Amino acid sequence: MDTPTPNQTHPTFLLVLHTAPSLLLNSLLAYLLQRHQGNWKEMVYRQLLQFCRDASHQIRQECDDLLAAAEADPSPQRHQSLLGCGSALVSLLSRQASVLASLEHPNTSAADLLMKRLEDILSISYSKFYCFLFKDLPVYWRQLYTDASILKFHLLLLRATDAAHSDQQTLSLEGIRWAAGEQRGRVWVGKALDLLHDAWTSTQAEAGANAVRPAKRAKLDDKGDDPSSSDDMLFAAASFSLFQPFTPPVEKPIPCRPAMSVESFQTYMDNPPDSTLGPEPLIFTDLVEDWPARTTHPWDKPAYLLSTTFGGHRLVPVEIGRSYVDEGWGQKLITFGTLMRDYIDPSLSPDHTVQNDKSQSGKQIAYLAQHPLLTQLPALRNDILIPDLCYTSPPPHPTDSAKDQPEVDEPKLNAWFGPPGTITPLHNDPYHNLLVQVVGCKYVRLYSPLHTEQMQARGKEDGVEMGNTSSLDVGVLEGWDQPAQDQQLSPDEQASEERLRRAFKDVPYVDCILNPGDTLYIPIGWWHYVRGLSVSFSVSFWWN
Amino acid sequence: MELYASGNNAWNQLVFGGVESASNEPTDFASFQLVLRDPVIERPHASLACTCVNTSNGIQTAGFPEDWMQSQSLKDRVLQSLAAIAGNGTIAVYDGQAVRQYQSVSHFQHGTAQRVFTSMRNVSQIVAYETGFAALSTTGQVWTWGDERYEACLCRDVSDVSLAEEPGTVAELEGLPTGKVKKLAAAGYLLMALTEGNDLYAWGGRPGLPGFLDDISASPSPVVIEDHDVADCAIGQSHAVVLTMSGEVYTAGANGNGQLGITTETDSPWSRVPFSPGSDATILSVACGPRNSFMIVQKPSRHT
Repeated sequence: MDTPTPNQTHPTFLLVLHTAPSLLLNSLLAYLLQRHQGNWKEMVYRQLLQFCRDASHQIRQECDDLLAAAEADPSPQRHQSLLGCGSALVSLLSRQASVLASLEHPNTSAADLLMKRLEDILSISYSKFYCFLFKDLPVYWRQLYTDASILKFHLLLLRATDAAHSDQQTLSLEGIRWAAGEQRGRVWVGKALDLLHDAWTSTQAEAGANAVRPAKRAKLDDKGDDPSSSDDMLFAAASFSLFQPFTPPVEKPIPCRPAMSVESFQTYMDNPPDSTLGPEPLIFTDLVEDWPARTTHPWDKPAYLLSTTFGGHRLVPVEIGRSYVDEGWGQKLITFGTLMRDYIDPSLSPDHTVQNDKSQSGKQIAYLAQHPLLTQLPALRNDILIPDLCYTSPPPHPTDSAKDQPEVDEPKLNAWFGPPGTITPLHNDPYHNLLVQVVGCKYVRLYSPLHTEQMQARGKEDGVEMGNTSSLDVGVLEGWDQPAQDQQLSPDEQASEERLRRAFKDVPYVDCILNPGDTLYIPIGWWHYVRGLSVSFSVSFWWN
Repeated sequence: MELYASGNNAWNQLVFGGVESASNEPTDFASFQLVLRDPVIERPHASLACTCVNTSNGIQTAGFPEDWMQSQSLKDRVLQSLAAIAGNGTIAVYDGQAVRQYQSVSHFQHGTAQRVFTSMRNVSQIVAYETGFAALSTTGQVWTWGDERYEACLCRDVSDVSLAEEPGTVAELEGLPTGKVKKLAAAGYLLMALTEGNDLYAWGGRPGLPGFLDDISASPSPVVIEDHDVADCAIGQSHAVVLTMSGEVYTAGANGNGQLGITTETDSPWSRVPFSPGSDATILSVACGPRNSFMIVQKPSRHT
């Protein structure tokens, strides 16, 4: 189910992961201020401003300490501190923190210059994200980016209450996932978000009490800046559409059974029928019956998901395009509300008409894939429970011990949320995986690691290792999808393609359609192809 | 001679001869302004926060002294275009025998080279972009090497026998219609080569990064600015400057810091800079820092 770990994957994917500070709060504050100014000011503004002031002061202090230390000893080991960015940038950052502290009015030329310099620092550090593989990116570039973002947030906060700016400025608080720095970093951003969330909940309550919501207008806001009108539609919708444009046949069904105890599962994994192959895939039909996501906090209700994302204002990185190996595939940041409204379930959209369901062809597919959404949204994280089965000791990779990873302390969680038609191409992962289907249906096909040679693994592409991904497109080979249009094959190539196709048809596999509440066990090294059939929300747990 | 500059001045790197008051944050130059006058002005080297220029009084610097300048030998080599520092911090230095590559300034200072390339001879210039380098020999041969993820910047096929990280010759820059390559320029993800016949070629690009010049790919394409022959060129992080044989300066790209020397807020295609060096004066050459631009102007010698 999971695409490769970031440093193995396609460059565009990797780059967006670097740059996707998965927490951007565009326009949230401005929106709050416009609609609920009095309340907002009293409740949270001062608190948040003080929080920013403290951080800005701390940034300046740290920078000055570092610069003084560098002056005393010009050639220290700098790799661990912000000085790795060079004294010049540390000095510039310190100066901006100082300007911010003494800023008399947020609407002066000095403030404009401050904003420009912060943008300069952001773009300088941002450009470094592309210079390195993520694993090699020195942490100080992320810290510089984070600290400059905090200063910018502080300045925007000052401006947000200033009449001249409140109607045009948007606020962004960037970098929780990649935020770095011991003193602030992710923790700081998290706390700032908590304060914002308090403001959001209180203003929502106030809005409800006063019944001041504007009349519903059937207008799709494609920028998602003013979500009020379309959010009403989202709130009104009871559940996601169950519509499945296409349902592949299941030919070699994976065995289904009720949940096992940890002991039985350990035994199942330790005593496989084929000892060279190791444990085989299995579906548990009732492993997650007690999850709040399936009961009290229903993830299949758009209204509930919105309530955990500031009414859909939180930004998330999504994959645009059918599959990460397609041409034109990319990632971008959109609000959770836009994701649901424009991509996941068009029936939620105010201008939706019934025909839209069948004419998906012109629409790009967006997929929130392999995203640590659950780290970003603690409310959703609390709706799921790590299955006890992840606290077992599964066997190593059956055929290639080089694939085994260092033991993880906690299972790695990823969220997968997309419309019908999303595809994760045939690939394998270096972990055992429990894939839990929370909302909607997915088709999964698995090939055993013993058939790795027939999977036609890709090699290194554009300097990025793609060896865990097959060059075969199951959907095209089965005739479910059209092959890419732009491929001009010579007769020789066509013949060899045809040979491959026939050879591949003979490779044994197992498959299934996961329904809501199902959990698929994918043993380490098994090649898997995953296809969303309806609106689908899954969570995967990697462990070893 | 006179040095004019436009663009980023966040560290006062366009202010030679000391700053009077440090209380105000320095602003950028939105157009080309005179920054230095001296009987001798060589081509400046501008890094992010600092400008170095060789004059009749030796090397003059403006701005914030950067870490790499602590080493006099590195500074000398950089000013001679025989050393360059890539955006990822890697340094390449030619010592007359070989090109040595260092991971960082401190590695250079400790003399611990990461790689030594002996294949490149008679190197006359080394330039760096974000993740790699290009070198030029006195015979016009061009080599490139660097991060294999950005193959377009290398301008050659990468394979198991021709690795990205090791210098490989750029065959496409040989046998050009107007003679051999006499100068290279590079920064960001863009590289340029200028021929003896004053044709300019550009290549490079990074997936996902909109280029500011048309037709930039993994293969050199001619840079066409009306019908001008090109006398000199320079590249910044996301802008470029060209001096035509007719003595006019054109700039293109991002103008966030005023580096184009023209009034535009958005990215600009090639535009002529409305700058006149004065009667009888000529613009000799151009240079770029990451976010600023320079031109050297020759004034007619004064008769007393």
